[in-house]
Amino acid sequence: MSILSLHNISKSFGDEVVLNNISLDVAAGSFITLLGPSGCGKTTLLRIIAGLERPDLGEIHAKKMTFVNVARNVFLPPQKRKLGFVFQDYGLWPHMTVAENVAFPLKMAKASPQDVKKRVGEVLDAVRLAQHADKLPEKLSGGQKQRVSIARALAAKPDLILFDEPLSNLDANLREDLGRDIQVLSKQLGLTCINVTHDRREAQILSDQIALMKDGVIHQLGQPHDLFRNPRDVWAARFLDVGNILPVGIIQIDVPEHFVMVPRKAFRLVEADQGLSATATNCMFIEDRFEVTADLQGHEVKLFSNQPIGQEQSIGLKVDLADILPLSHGAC
Amino acid sequence: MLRPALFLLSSSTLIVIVGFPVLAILLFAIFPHINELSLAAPLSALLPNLANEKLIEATFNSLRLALSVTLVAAIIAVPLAYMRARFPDRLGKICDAMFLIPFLIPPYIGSLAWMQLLQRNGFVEQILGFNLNTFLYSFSGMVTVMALHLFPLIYFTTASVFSVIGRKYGDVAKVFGGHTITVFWQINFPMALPALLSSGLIVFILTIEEFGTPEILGARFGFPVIVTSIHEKFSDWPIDLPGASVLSLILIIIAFVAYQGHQRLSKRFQTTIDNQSVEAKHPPLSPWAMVGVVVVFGGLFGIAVGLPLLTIAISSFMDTLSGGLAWDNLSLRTLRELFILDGDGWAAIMTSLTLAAFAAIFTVMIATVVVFTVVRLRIKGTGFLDFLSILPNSIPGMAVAVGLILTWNQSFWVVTPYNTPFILLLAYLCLMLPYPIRMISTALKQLPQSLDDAAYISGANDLTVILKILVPLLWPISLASGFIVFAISTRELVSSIMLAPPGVETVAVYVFHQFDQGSVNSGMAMSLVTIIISGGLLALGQRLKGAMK
Repeated sequence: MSILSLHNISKSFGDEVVLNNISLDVAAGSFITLLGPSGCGKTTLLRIIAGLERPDLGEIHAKKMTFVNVARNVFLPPQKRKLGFVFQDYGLWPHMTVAENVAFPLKMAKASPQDVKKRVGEVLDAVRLAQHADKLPEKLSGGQKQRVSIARALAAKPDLILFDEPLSNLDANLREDLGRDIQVLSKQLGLTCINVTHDRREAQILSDQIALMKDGVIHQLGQPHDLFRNPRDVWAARFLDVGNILPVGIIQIDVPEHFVMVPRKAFRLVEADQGLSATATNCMFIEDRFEVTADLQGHEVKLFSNQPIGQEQSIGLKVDLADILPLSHGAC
Repeated sequence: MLRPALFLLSSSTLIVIVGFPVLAILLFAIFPHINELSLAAPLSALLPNLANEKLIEATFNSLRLALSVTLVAAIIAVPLAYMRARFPDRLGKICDAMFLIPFLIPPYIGSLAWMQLLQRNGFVEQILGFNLNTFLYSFSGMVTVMALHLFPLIYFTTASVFSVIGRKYGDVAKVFGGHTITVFWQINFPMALPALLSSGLIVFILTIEEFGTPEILGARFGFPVIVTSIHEKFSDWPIDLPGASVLSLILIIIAFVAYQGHQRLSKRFQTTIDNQSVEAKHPPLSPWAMVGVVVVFGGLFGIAVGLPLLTIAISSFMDTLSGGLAWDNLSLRTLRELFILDGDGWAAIMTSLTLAAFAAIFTVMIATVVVFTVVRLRIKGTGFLDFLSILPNSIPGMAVAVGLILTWNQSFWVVTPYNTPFILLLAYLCLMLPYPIRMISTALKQLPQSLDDAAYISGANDLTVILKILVPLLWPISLASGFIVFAISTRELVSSIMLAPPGVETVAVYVFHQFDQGSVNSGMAMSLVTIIISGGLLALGQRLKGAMK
């Protein structure tokens, strides 16, 4: 069952078209990420869903109410949409304690003082911040601040929670941890979430569904594994950084497309006089193996190796044809 | 709905306070019969006035004076600023505090003090046996007096720039092997130039606007400037309204152009220099350098601040001026007379304090509404509001006064504030509005938009966002700006002189009249009170503002 549906949403700022006829259904309990480079319109779309921005055209319907219907001149202001929102810069009110920040949406919903107190306790427990309830936000670390922001978004039990690059202000290790926490929490509580990010890794950690956005349209929509294994075209493959993109001629296979995507793991190192001949240009140890950069007939390719490879060393490459994906040029 | 109401409220307030006077000047300069609701004989006042020799002379004098003062102020300030950037932290802070003090002395009071000090039979002659009468009442004398008052503006701006540059780019340049002199001319100077020019333009504007000093010193050696010529148009019968409006228009145009230049340059400076990151510790100065610092900074402080302040204080404690500098001529009589409850002095103090208090309260209230509307409500037309709200920055006090007279001294108004103390309040509101606007809007722009958005999404409406989120976060800076408005209002001279209804005196008007009547020491006593009140409040306001950061 869909909890939010967008129909033909369009938005321009001046002459620049930011969103072009976007339609999207968000199923209850799902976590969907709008992924794309800066300027693709993902943040504007999120702000339109929240009511912080008005679309020029289109409709948005939630479970029990209409958020926007431009044709009928319906616009529900953000305070009436009953959403949660987690901001990139946390958006915590510096003059209120953690508990007061979290209590604010409940007070706005005119909950009784006992209910406010009880619910604040519950959500602070859920984000493991109960012991910091009486602190001011400035006393907390970045990760803790973002947990408060999440607790505040959860407080009034909204049907839908919006995340605007929730992890991008945090350093790498923390990003991973908080990302996993958000993912676990959203599944435990059965939340429906929409997240915006330009970070592939963040999208992979959090999402059930990814909407890859480009130039104001949804370029490709799918589950993370599907999207990363089958990018639609050269542009998607490049943005998702799924592997080496080479002209079809180099691999010598017979397909109608002009390009082929060769994942790093699809290259196998063989003796220099076998397979395709290439020259290693760089080699570094990353995570648990070497990542080798090599020159393959004038094209830079990346591949994995268990042994270090010296610079300028001639190498042979075999391609695992089962893993490669022919790509259309797309709009790139 | 709250939003349209806020927009209407702030635009109508700004139009009445700022728009009317400016528009009146423009209309009168072009249509001299507009007050009879007639567009007859357009330009009949503008063209003859523009060809008028007196007007040309006054304009030329104003420009010459402002350029010279800016130049001399820069010559004093830049070397000091360059030295200051190399001081250890504590010494630098002491020097900065010292050079804040000239601001606490209103310029007209400073000029009166210099007169008392240097003129024939002044304090210098009584002690040292010679006077500098000829120098004081000359172009160079007037330029010196004004530059000594205004140089700290250039000093503060350039010193902060030099220290940022020194810390960051200077170190970088040294790493790449630049010599000190090369570094100054290749790195420091070009990078400081926009800041130097932009603060120089502020000095230029303040000189162009200044009424007290040209009236006090310039009038005695026949040096009319635009502002004093406007004053003359109103004091000599028949009153020449179109003439005054043409002069005011020229004044506004000069100030407006200079202010635009200042804005461009300061923006450019902010964008070219990235934020400072590392704070280099400066080593303590050698003893000889220390002596040099004390001589240069102390000497200048003594001249620019010490001498005038001492003169004011001594004069206030003199029984009679003719008694001269003698121990038996000391008394508290003059000061005590100010505080006689039915005296003119006390009445002037009360008038000024009341006006200042209302000006502070109202400007802060108006500024809060206007800033919220301009910064946060993104509706069409806020650009115009923004323009109106900072327009008074580039409108000299004299022009505001003329504009208010032209607006409100008209028979078609059923009720008019003209000839009541309310006209003074209107003038103060217009003149002081930029201070709270600038302070509150800077503070509001630093609050991330997400604070408002988070509240809206949590279910808050506009009013709740203002009352629960913005007001609690902004009230300290609003209070600080209120103090600053209060302090500056208590010393305001030019619009008070032009607009005070008969029988009403503000502190500044009282001081001016006392000098005109020859009661120099009672004028000085009132000056002392003004400096203590407005200086104390300014210091408090700055401290509050500093505490916010």
